Amino acid sequence: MRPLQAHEVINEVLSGSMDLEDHVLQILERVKEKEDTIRAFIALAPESSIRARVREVREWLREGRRPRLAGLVVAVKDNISTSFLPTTAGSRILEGYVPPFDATVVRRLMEEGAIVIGKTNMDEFAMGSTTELSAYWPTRNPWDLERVPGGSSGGSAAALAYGGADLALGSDTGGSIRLPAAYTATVGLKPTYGLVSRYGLIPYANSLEQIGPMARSVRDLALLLDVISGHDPRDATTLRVPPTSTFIAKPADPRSLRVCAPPELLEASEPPVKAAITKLLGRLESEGAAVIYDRHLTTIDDALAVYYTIALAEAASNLARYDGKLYPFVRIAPTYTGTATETRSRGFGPEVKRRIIMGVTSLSEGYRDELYMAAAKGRRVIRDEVLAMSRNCLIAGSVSPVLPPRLGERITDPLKLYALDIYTVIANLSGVPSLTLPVDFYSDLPIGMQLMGPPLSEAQLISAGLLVESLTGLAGVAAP
Amino acid sequence: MLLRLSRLSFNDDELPELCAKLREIRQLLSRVRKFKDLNVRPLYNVWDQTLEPPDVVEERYVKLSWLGQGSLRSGMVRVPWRGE
Repeated sequence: MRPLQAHEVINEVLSGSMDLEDHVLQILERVKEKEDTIRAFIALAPESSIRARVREVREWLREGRRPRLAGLVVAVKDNISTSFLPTTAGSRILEGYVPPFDATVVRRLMEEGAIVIGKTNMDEFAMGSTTELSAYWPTRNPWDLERVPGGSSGGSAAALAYGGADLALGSDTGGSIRLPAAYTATVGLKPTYGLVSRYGLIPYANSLEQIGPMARSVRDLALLLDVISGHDPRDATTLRVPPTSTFIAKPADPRSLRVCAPPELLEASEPPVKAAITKLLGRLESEGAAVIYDRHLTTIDDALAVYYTIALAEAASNLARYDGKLYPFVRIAPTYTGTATETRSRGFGPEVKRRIIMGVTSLSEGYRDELYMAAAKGRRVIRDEVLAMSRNCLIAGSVSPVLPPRLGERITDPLKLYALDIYTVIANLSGVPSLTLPVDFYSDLPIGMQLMGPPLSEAQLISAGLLVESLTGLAGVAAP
Repeated sequence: MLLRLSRLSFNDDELPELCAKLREIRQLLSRVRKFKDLNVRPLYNVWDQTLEPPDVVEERYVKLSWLGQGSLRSGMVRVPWRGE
């Protein structure tokens, strides 16, 4: 199935050949048809407020305004603050919380005429890789209902994959945009650290996470990136750079493309994953691209340990705020400590609790030097190796070592779950951008590839992505 | 001690499984020990001098004027679930 791509919808809406209300209602129908089984959304906006928003955007068009996302339906991950819909980050501890402000990315969407349809399901506080660790329910993969859509932005990816949104926002701390994109044949970008504002993102690990665009094609992803990127005075970690202009990017000329395919990013993948990516790299070579197979990323073996040590330490610190005083969910006890302990013990799920305890451990006297400080040193070694390679070529490799896992297959063993992130965490540790896009199907299951580049090389990645799409013919594909 | 620092409590029947899983995770994290004595500076933020960070860091704040009247009461932020 190939619904219209977002940029095609915009062209038709702005030219007057499509009524934006018809478009939005068509997507709402699709959501009603699919949500009972897929369960991609935690909260959906009431139809009356969606219709009111459609009227507002239509009025803008009558006034002659040309907003870049006029009438496009956008799904927003539930850890991104919205003043008009609850924001739970997939956790019971934030049940009933409606932020008093919009995240900068949401404000930018609204200013460009987007229709935010709802908040998408996710692993609790983005701590997971399958969306099974949501406190509410697991989301199913629209391509195979017995399998997971990846995580933690699995709700956003699933909604896109079944046609329940034109565009979506996710967040990526260690692969949380790219794994779901790979498992659902959608496109996702973990932007350069600091390119997109995190103001209003419910924090998990501040030094690693980024909000990023998700779509059904590279061109649509570029459209969304241009809207949400650029400096934000409300986020001190954003870079002093203007918004990107990637929507006008052209497919890369293969003869000027250099791709490094380090064996460490491919060799340990399941045979169908490895075969699909190797085949795609071969096609790029036959088109004239230089594909280099003998460059090595020697630090990748340590990346998972370094990543989890840092992420869990930052998580323990960030989640200390949930003490029963600031947010609606509370379990009262006679003392402050009792209330905090009772609230946290009832409000957090088991995986979040495990990560808090390990994070507290790695920051504790006696362990700090051995764990957290050692990991921060390891991060520099990994970052420097990735940067050195990315100066010479785009880095290509697997997103996930396996095909989309079956529901329940990974969540009982934390280490098996963490292993899904083996190829994705290096982009977060290094701050570099990473684009994931579909390259093939195996037994009707999607397979994705990631491309990493140097900091702020989003335009280059999008050009390369457009070239890959022209070879695979998978732009805009959606589940039946 | 760790549970107290984490402000978390568990039932007695939950503890054996919790401890087993924490041991597994700790085994993974312990692999970073190889970097402990390495003569490099820890990297806390990818935007260190190598990447020419933004020279001016803005002060972080939220202005009440950003929130709109519906979110305020007597010039202060309303917390609806704590009553008017």
